[in-house]
Amino acid sequence: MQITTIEGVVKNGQILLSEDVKLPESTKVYVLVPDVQRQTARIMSPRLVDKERMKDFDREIIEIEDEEI
Amino acid sequence: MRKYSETYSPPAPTAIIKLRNPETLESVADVPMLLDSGSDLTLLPRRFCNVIGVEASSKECLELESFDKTTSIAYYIRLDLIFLNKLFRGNFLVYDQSEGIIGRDILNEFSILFDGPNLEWDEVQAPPLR
Repeated sequence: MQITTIEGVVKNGQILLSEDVKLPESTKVYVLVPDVQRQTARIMSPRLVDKERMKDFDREIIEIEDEEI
Repeated sequence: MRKYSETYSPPAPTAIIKLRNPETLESVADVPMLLDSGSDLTLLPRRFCNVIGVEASSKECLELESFDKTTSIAYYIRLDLIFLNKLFRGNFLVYDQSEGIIGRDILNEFSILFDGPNLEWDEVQAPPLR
C-alpha cells in the first residue's frame, strides 16, 4: 500500500489540508494526531451548552428505605 | 454528618453512591462522587457503569462547557442511581474519571446543609407540614 502524508489542521471541527491537494471522492484516509493526548481531564462544574437538552434528564424518582436496595 | 474529602484542597463535600443496572438489578456501591452545585448535571465514572454491565450510548451525547470555557463531549447512559434515600431512574452522562460529580439535577431534590467550618455535610430533614 502506498502512503502519502499530507499535513493539515483542525478548524471548526473540520480537517483543512495545508497543501492544495484534491483527493478523489470516497478516498479512505487515516488521521494521525501527534503530541495530543486524548482529553480525559476532569471537567469542572460542567454546564450544558444547549439548555434545551435538560429535558433529556427528567427521571423517575423513587423514595426508598436504606435496606431496600 | 458526613466528612468532607481532604483529597481536595480546600476540602470538598463528597459522597458515596450506588449504581444499579435496571435490567439485571446488578449493583455497585462505593462510587465516589463530588457534590458540585456549580454543575448543571451529574456525571458518572464510566468504569463503575461497566462493572454492572451498563454501557454508554455510542451515539447519544451532548456538549458540556466548563467554567474556563473548555468544552467536552459526554455520552448518555441509562441506569438507576441511589443517593441518600432516593432512587433516580433515567438518563445520566458518563465520563472517563475515577470520581463522578453530583450536579444540581440531583442536589436540587434534597435539603442539604454544608457545614464548612466543621468540614461536614448532611441532608436536612424537612420539618413536618403544619
